[in-house]
Formats: sequence, C-alpha cells, structure tokens
Amino acid sequence: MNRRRVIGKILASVGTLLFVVVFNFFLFRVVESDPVANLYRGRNLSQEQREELRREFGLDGSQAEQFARYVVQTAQLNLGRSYVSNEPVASEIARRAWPTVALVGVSALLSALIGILIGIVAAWRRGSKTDYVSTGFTMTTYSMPDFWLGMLLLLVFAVGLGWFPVGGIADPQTGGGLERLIDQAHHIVLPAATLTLAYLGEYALIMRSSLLDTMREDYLLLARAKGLRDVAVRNRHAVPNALLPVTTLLAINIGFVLSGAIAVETIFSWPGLGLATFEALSGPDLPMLQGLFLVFSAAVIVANLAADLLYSYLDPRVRTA
Amino acid sequence: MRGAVATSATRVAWARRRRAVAGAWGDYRRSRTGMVGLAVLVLAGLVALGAPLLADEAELRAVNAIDNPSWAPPSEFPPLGTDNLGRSVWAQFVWGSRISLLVGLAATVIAIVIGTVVGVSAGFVGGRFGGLLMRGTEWFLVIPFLPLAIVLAAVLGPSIENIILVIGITSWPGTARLIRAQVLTLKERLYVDRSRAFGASNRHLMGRHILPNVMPLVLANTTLTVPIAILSETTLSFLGLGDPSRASWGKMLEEAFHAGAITREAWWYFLPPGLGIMLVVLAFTLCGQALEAILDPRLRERRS
Amino acid sequence: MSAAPRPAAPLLAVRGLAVTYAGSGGGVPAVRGVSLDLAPGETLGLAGESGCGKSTLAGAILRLLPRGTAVTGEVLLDGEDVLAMRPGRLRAVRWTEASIVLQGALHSLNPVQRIGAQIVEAIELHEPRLGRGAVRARVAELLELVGIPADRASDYPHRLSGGQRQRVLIALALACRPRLLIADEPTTALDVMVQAQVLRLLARLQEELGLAVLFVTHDLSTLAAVCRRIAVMYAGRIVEEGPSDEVFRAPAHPYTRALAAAFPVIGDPAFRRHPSGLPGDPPDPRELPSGCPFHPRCPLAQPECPDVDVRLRPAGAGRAAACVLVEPA
Repeated sequence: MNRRRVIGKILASVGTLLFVVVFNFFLFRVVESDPVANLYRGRNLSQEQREELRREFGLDGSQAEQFARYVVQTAQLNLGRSYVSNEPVASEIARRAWPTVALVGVSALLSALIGILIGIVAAWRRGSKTDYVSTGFTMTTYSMPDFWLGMLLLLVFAVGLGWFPVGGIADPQTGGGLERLIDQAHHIVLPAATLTLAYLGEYALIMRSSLLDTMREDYLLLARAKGLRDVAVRNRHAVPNALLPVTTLLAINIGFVLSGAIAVETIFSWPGLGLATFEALSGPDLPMLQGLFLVFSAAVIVANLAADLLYSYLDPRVRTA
Repeated sequence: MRGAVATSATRVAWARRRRAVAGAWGDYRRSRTGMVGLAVLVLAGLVALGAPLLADEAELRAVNAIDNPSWAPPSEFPPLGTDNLGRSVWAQFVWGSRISLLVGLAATVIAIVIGTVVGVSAGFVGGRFGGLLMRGTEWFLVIPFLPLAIVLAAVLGPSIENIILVIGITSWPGTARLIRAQVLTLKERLYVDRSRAFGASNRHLMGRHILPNVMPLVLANTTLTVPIAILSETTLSFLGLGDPSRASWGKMLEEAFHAGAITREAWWYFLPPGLGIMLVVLAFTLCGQALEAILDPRLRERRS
Repeated sequence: MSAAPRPAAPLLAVRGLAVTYAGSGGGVPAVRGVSLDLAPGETLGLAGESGCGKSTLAGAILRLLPRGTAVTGEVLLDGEDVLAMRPGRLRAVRWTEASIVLQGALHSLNPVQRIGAQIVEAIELHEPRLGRGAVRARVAELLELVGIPADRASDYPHRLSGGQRQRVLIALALACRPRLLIADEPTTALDVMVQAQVLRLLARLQEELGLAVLFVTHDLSTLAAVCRRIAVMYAGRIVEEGPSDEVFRAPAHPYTRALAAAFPVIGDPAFRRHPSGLPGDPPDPRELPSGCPFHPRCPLAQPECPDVDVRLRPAGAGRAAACVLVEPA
C-alpha cells in the first residue's frame, strides 16, 4: 500500500478521535448536576470556597470557555481531577491501565487462538459430530453474559474447589520478584479464562464461516489436483486465506475488549480500568468517567487503524495494489 | 377502469407476497435449529405474559417476605429457594423475564427504526447527504458501545425508559450500514432503473421496490439485535444502572453478586436468571440464523 | 523398470463411466456411461453445451469431484484404474501422470501466494530430492516456455492479466512433466486475441512435449483447430465422435450439425449458453426426456425417437454417432 493511503487512513483516525473528544464534552454537559454540591453535601461552604472548588474542577465560566479549556487540556493529556481521590485522572488511568492490558492481552490471544482452531476443525469437518458439538459449545458461551460465566467459574473453582483466589490481582502478603509474579499468574487465571471463553465463540463462528467460504474456491481444487494431502490443502491454502478477515476482527476486537472487561473486572475485583469504571459510577465521579470514556474510545480507534493497516499488509492484493 | 386495474394489481401483489411468506415459512420449518429457537422463544413469551399466574407480584417485596427464611435452598423453599431477604427467587425470575424481554424488544425497535431510516436514506439519497450520514455512522460505530451506554445511563439516571433509550440509541449503526449496503444493491438492480424510466416517482420507488425488498433483511437483523440488547440490559443492570424498583434478570444477578451469593454458594439465586438470559439469547440467535439462511441465496446453496 | 506400453495401448481409457451427483431430491446423473480412448501424444476434443457433463468427466479422471458423488466404471490411466487407487497412490499420480488446467483462470491461483511458490510446491511435492537450484531453474524454464519472463515468479496472481494467469496455470500443469494434460475450458474467460494466443501455445506445447491432451470446450470450431479427434457430448453421453475435420465438415448427428453450423461469436455470453443456435435449453439431468434425450430439440426428430434409447453406432471410418438416422454401415 502506498504511503499516501497510509497517511490518509491515519488522518481519518485522527478525525474520528477529534469527533470523540468533542462528543465527550457535550455528553457530560447533559448532566445538570453540581458536583461541588454533591461532594460537599452537608458541609458549610462559603460562596468563596464554593467558587474556588468550582474553578478547581473546571466548572467556572461559560460553556464556550469551558469547552475551549477542555480542548486545550485534553490536548495536553490533562483530563482533570477525580472527584473522589482528587488525583489527576490521567495518572489514575495510567496506573490502572496495566492490569487491564495484561488481562485483555492474555485473553484476546488465547480466545483468538482457541477460537480459530475450533473454527477450522468445525468447518473442515462440516456437518460432522465434531462440527455440531463445537458449534453448539461456542454458540452457548457466546450467549452467556460474560460476568455470569465468571460467577459460575468463581463458584466452582474458587469457592467450591478452592483452586484459585476469589479476586484481586495479588495477595498482599506475598513477597516480591518471582514469587509475586507467580501469585499474579494465579490470580489472573479465572478472569482470563472467563474472557477467553466469552470471546472465543465469535472467533470460532467467524473462522468457520470464512473457511467455508474459502473452501469453495477453485484454487483449493487445483491444490488437491496437484496431489497435496487434504491437511496440506487446508493448512497451506485454505487457512491463510480464511484467516484474513479473522485477523482484522481480532485487531478491532482488542479495542472493544478493553471496555468489555468492565463487568468481569468487577466480578473478580481486578484493579483495572473496568473496575475503575464501576467505582467511578457510584460517585458518579464524572471526570474519571469522562477520561475513561475517552481512553476506551481511543483504544477502539487505534485498534481499527491497526486492523486496517494489518489487513493491507497481510493481503497482497491490497499491499501491492 | 384505472381503479379496477390498480386494485387487481394490488391484489396480485398481495397474493404474491402471501405466497412468498408461506414459502419462507415452509423453508423456515425445515431448519431444525430455527424451530428449536422459536419454541424456546414461545416458552419465554408465555412465562413473561403469564407471570401473574405463575407467581404473586407481592412476593417481590421484602416486607412481604419477612416470614420466609433467607438463603433457603430450593429444597426448603420450592421451587427456586429464597434470596438474602427471604424473597422467592422463582417470583423474581418470572417477573424479571418481563423486564428483560421488554427492554430487549423495545430497545431493538428503537435501534432498528433509527438504523433503517439512516441506512435507507443514506443509500437511497446518496450523494453528499448520504456520504455525510455514513460518515456519522462510522463515527458512532467506533465509539465503544458499553462505555457510551454506561455514561448515558449514569447521566440520564436509572429508569426502565432510560435503559431502553440508551440501548436503542447505541445499537443502531451496524443496522444502518447493513441496510445501506442492501439499498445500494437494490438500486443497482435493473428493475429500479426500468421503473424510473417509466417516470416513477421516488415515493413509488421507495414504497414499491426498495422497502419491500429491505424488509426481510430488517426482520433478520431485528432477530439478531434483540439478543445483543438483552445482554446489554443484563450488563447495565449488573453495573447498577437498571431500574432500582423493578426486578429484571440482570438486576437479580447484581443483587445476587452484591449479597454474596457466590461465597455462600447460593447457586439457586444466580443460576436461573443467567440460564434464562442464555437460553433466550441463544434462541434469538438461532432464529436469526435460520432467517438469514433463507434470505441469503448464497447460504441456501451452501446448505443444500 | 515399468514395462514399455504397447504402442497401441491408450494412455487414457475411460470405460462405461457414470457420475451421479448427490442432490437433495435424489441423485443427479451428470455422466451416463461414457467410454473413450486417448493414445499417448494424441489430442481429443470434448465438446458440448454447458451442463452436458463434459467438465464432470474431466474432473472424474483425477477424482476431483465433490465428496458424496457416485462414480462408477473405469478410468484407466496407463492401464491402472484411477477410481480404484488408494489415496496415497492417487496423490502420486495426480500431476505426475495427468494434470489439469481448470476453467476460470482468475480464481485458480491462490491469491496470497506468489506464482513461483505455487509452481515450486508441485515440483517439491513430487520430486522431493530435487535441489533448490534445480527447482528454481525448472520454474524459470516453465515460465519461459509459456512466454512469461522468469522474474515474474515473485509476483502475486493479481498482478498478472487474465491471459498471463492462464499461461501460468499451463506452466503449473506442466511442472511435473505429465503425459496427459486435461484442459477444461482453458480459454473461456479470456478475450478473443488472448484466446487465440493460448490456443496456439497449447498446440505448440502439445507437439513439442508429445503431450496427450484432453481438450474440453463448448466451442466446436476451437476444437477443430486444435484436436485431431472430437467427441461431442449431450445429456451425459457421447453422441458423436470421429476425426475432427470430418466431424466438423460432415456431422453425422443433428446435434453436432447444429453445433457446427452455428457461427461462433466467441465471448458472447448468449452464445455460450446456446452455442448451437438451437431452440430451448439443454435438458435438466434430473428429468431427461425419454428415448433420445435430444429429440425435443431435434429438427429431424423421427416418430420413434422418444422411444428408442439410441447408442453410438458406426458411421463411417473411425466415426460413430448415436442417431437413428445413421445407417449402420
């Protein structure tokens, strides 16, 4: 793909990002609430103190002034201060991003890997018992609320069998270094298994239908006529072509999975962005919600761009066009 | 005279449509998974409509449950045991099905209406206006659904109308894109050109050619949007954004979780609503797939 | 170590081949008892309208038909029945003994693999001990043979024109030096000029390499130019066969006559559907007419035609036709 098209795609993404930034501002101005009053309910505040606090939260001045200030501050990655912790939202988000990235990364990888394998087997043995069982299984997990699946896993494996901790990212009593890492791995198993199971269904179903489409192509007939074994026809010719749309889906999904983990993180008290969202809701901690919304949207935009570029890299028809 | 011709033409068109519907139903009946899905949906509909016959609404209120044991398993308090406040889980399950289905269906109607209007206008009008509409749709496609719904629900306040509205107005872009593509294909088709050449008005084109051919797709898309809406209701309610005064399956899961049903191993509290959601979502998906298979000739060929 | 085939022994001998596709409402007979011979180095054209079973016949020779298709009879390739081969033997025979150029050059190459790699794959599969350099040299030689610069081996299929892709497919078919080449409508997707080039290329290669070619097409005039012998198929059976110039000049079967009389408008889709200029469509294999399946469209139909299941009968030296009007010589 030529450079002009890449730049065009990047510019389009920046445009979408700007739209989200603007949208974010107006979304939160719909609320007719006075956070200062909410936060300091029951305390006696002088008018001066009130004004001071309003200024601190960026709520003084006209809407236009607020908008201008919001845009400038957002451009400087200044997302305001949390009503609850009074910390800068940006650093709060940065602190809580890592657990989510780890959790989502592990589960996205596993769900794609397992889902694609299931899809391949189901499509290749289409109409067989294997196909019915695996498609039934993936459609079932696909139909469950992900956090409910998490509750079931908690019930069986944490409470019932006691194999895994019921929540959190690490036991505060464990030491540092390798011991801590192992403890964290122990903690991530159940939430990661939940998200993996919840998401692999989509990959399996898409891979299955993509491979079924590919299997009707003439070049597979030719590959068979050359004398290749069925397995080689599948692995060398059918799967690489069928994977193209799935890879794109994977890249796009990573953006969405980030925010999809909100309920699952809540179930497992996994201290990432999802739990942060849940906590911000009870305030409601509007600056925090606003910042999180921006981050979640940006993740999708970046993932979309990555998917686009990845696809044009993987498909020679686009790459060398 | 002209009136008579027009009536008979209409009658022919209706007869043709009736035949098409009958044929589609014949096709549908041959899909075993589609029929299973339909059966589950009928059952769910009966439970929701017959809720007053199946359980007393008064049992939902904690004040009426004071004499019941709390955390009673099904064996002690049939059929489904009680929750932390001694309320019957069965009553909550039955009455909760109403809210879950209502929210799912109502939100889908909103999403489909917006999506169809945007999709049809973007596809039919085309040009700069259509391009602009699609650009906007693409933007909304990018905004992650759940955070947007959460923010909206938080901003608007928890009520059943709001949750319907929130899910409805966050679920339309996919439909819009699908419908637009279909309208564009239809526009390319010869007969539209031909009837335009005969001097047909846009309204005639829309009413006679575009809408009748888009409707089956809209129907299939509706069937596939409902399960997503139901899952969304579940998640939003679980996060505490549902109507606090009415039981829904999502709200049952929220209350079960926060009451500590997992550590108490009170499976009877959170198993039924989750299973209910799963079955209904699965059923809608099966029905939608069966419909899609009938509508998509390519899929049909593959099936035979 | 194999014994040299007797001179008269055919390279390909099809005996009583019948192919029935699995269908939702019972089997669909596509080929209904076809026998033909092809000697080494010889060319045989197989002509007929879309749906007459000629492509099915071509696919059956290498057992490329979909699973669930019932194939009976014998396909003897160098005396060995392809239909009875074990899977391993079948894979070894494919491409080394017989290879195929499929119709639809646009879709027969894997879009995400370089064309060189697709040729290399076939060579390495059947001649694993050949060194890397030798394989590369063979690929270059094959591409040059079909008139494509060797350096295009590193291109992806979409970078090539339709005619070039068809040439690549021919080069690919020759990769393992087969003795039989099956060309299934190799020119249909191409424009007239390119069609002529590809035909000339096939004729040249056939001569240079001493290939036996089974050439399948709906276009009788093409066959007359390329093949020494012709077989005409209708409704799953051969209705006439003989030396191509004679069959073309003096057809014995009314169907062949219609095919030969029609002025070929190459590339015209209407012509592809009705190359014969005959009224009506070829019969639905599910509901074949009684007797001679051609009688509803036949301009010379006799009263007995709906009742007589007419088989091939001799019609002059080296010729045969399935028509009641042909007097047994």
